[in-house]
Amino acid sequence: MPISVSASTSISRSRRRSRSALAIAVLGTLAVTAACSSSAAEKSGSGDPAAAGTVAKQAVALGTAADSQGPDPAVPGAKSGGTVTVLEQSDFSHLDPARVWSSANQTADLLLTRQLTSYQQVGNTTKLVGDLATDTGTSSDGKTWTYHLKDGLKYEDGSTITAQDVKYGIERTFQKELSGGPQYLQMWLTGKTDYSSTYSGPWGGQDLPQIETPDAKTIVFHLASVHADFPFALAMQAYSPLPKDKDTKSALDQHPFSSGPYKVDSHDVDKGMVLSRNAYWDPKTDPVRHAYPDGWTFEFGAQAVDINQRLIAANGPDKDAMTFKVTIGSDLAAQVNSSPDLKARLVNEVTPFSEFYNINTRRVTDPKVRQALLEAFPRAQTRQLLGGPVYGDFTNTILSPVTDGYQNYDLYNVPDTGDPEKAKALLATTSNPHPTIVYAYQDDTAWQQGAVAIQQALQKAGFNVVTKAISTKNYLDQTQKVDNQYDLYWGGWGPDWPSASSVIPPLFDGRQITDGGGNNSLLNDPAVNAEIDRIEAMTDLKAQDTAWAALDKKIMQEVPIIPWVDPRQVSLYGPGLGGVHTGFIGTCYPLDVYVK
Amino acid sequence: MIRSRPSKDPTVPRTPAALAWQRLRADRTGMAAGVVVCAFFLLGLCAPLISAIYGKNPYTTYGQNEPGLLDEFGYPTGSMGGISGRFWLGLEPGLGRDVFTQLLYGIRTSLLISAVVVLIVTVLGTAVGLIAGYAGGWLDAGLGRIVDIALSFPSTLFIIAFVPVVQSLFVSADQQTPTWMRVTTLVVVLAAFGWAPVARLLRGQVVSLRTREFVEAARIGGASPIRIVRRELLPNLWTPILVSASLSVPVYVTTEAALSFLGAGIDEPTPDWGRMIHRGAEVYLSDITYMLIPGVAILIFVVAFNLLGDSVRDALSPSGR
Repeated sequence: MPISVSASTSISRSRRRSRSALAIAVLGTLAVTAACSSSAAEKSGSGDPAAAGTVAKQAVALGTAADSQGPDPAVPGAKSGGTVTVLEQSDFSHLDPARVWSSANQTADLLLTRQLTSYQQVGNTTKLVGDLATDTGTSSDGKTWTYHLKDGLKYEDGSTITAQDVKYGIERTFQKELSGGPQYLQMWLTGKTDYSSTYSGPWGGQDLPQIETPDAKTIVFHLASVHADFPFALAMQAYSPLPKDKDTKSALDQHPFSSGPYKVDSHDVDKGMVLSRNAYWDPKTDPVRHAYPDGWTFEFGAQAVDINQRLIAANGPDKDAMTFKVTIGSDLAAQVNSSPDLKARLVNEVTPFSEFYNINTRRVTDPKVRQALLEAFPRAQTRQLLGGPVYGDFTNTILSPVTDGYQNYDLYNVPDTGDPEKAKALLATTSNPHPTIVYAYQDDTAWQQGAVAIQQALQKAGFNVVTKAISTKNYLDQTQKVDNQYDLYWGGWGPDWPSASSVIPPLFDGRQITDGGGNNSLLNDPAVNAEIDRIEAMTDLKAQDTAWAALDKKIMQEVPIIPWVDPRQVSLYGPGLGGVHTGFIGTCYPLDVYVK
Repeated sequence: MIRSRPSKDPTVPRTPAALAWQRLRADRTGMAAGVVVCAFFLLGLCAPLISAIYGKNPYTTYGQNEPGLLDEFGYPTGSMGGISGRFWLGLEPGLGRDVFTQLLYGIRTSLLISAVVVLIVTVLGTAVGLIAGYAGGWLDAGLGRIVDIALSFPSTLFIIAFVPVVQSLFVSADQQTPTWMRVTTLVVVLAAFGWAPVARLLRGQVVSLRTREFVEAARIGGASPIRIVRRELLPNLWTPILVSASLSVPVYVTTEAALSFLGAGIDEPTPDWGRMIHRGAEVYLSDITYMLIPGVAILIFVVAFNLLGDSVRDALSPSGR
């Protein structure tokens, strides 16, 4: 999923996502899906505020039918009861599952919706398991997928969740009015990127023939092409069930009809929201969700700095408060680091997102010059301006460590502070040892200072550097234009599931280059495109993962991007809570939280 | 006999300028403020010299180049924002540049811009005020409406919206925006709005002067309008002109800082007080020193300049007290 630009000058990360499936979001970081936490190789920076970096990397395996039975294994020490307060800067832009794609919205819908499949996190192990379905799906050819629903699945009004409801929920995502959600299933089912020309949604009374529901508990998908990772795509909140008679259309966005463990009691847009238990939700059918608190109270509209101060003070009900996505900035890092009390209630884990600097391969056509840019680039200096180790962990790869098949490698072996001498030597072998590089950045303090650091570092290697500020609001639009006039610009990406098939094709398939798309290095290499086609046609997930990792390395030989950091989610929570950690979405994960 | 030479001899009349100077010298606050203001100008003028002796410059990122000066989060190690014998006012969080030289060169940016703006605004405002006030009639009415429009325009909003547009018009997308263009744009837009209050003030003065007997006498004597303006009116306008100019300098220093604070002023890497204060406001939780230093510097400068302006006014027109 794309990454969003931070709206403010602070280091807080916003995770808005733009509407296009391939859009990227910028500065801040963003949203996601992949799996558990992990420690990326961190070459420098000894002092994380909390000892988070020790979790082992873990691929997300497909669980068995036995894994898919509920209930979710209990969190040690957890007990039921109490109310959790969640403090956020802004209201969730969407709660209607069909429109949910940003990390914040997805996190909220974890409490309110269920899907055919979902991720079960136990300790450091994450598995994809059947959620509404009895398993992760069966297919003989990667095109036709069959699911069976469990018994005892109920909505908030006590009615039964049926296969027809699942189908209707997916049909709704075709409806043009319900914009903002991901588009994977729509494209895969119809085989077209402009899927609404084939099917325009259920509101006009049409039926989507590619999904069959022979009975109330069986659902069969007929895809247009092979997608071995189909079970992962189904785990996205956008593909949740909804009974046709409960489709309140646009009103559903504020008040979704719950299939999950909680339901919306009241929602005062932009101010607050109250959730209480869905009495009909049966934990024995649900292998991925705990529902320890009796209720959730959301408060929207405060500044990040105020939210952090409230979490530090933890007065009254704030004792049981947390935040899904507000991070501490570098200004609080030192205070948190020196206080054992605060350190004890800090989430500090790597998210599935990646941030990197795109090199415009249409303007900087010589791979040697691109390699020199990578070698001279001040990765550590720019990270320090955004908070240093609390901002993220350095990476040298395209794929993030939470992606299945991820293999660590370091093709160029340069220090994080850059190696201007090495870059200079490389530039000397090209036709122009002093190329001009236009660096575009968003116009706020941290990035202005980053431009100073980048300019100085690249100049040391012999580059002429032109810096161009773009207003934060326009940054993504400008840098995502195919005919942009910049050579180097920041970008980011979060996979929608822990597979490289939601990373490499959107970022490096030359045929997907469009304004507002994800391929902002504008790399269009026929060999890479052909390899993407070959891998996507594989039916074996394991073989696919291995092939993606090899392609990752191959693409990096052309240096279309300068890999930078895998951002961290570093957030405080109240001392009255337990079980707070990040989930596969990258935000603080609500489903294991309990009130002590 | 030679007249009008300033003299200590009480029998010899003194010029108004000498009287004013005498009154100013007797005003201790004014003199103290004057010394501070002169010190700021001197520091700004001698910035390259001072930084050469001091051995640092405002552009080198000491903290990033040398390990140990900044902690892993980018904040200066050591207390008080890294103040030490080596870095007199500490280091900037993040990039680790030297605060003292940033402040010194920041004075140059602020004073250069505000002095040029004040010069343009004063000359332009005085000219318009004289023409409107002396000519009267339709010319006065027309200029008066233009002044009204300039005064009522939301200038800050306009400048914030206008500056980036102008720069993108004149600089192609793959070229660096030169610093002189940033400065020129700022000066032009600030002057474009700043002349109006001066013009209005001067016009009022001229209107009250032009019907006075000595002006009438000159006119009856056959003096040309230009001569009347230059020899009869202008000498009587020096007081309001000087006072408005001296009170405008601190206003433009703070306006320039505010625009930089809002992101429409001078950009990196040119040192600038407004940007320093902006950055200080972001990091105050961890490094309050970095907010205090430019904040206190601009406070002292603005207070001193305002006090000096008051004293100049008092000295020039004691009746206005």
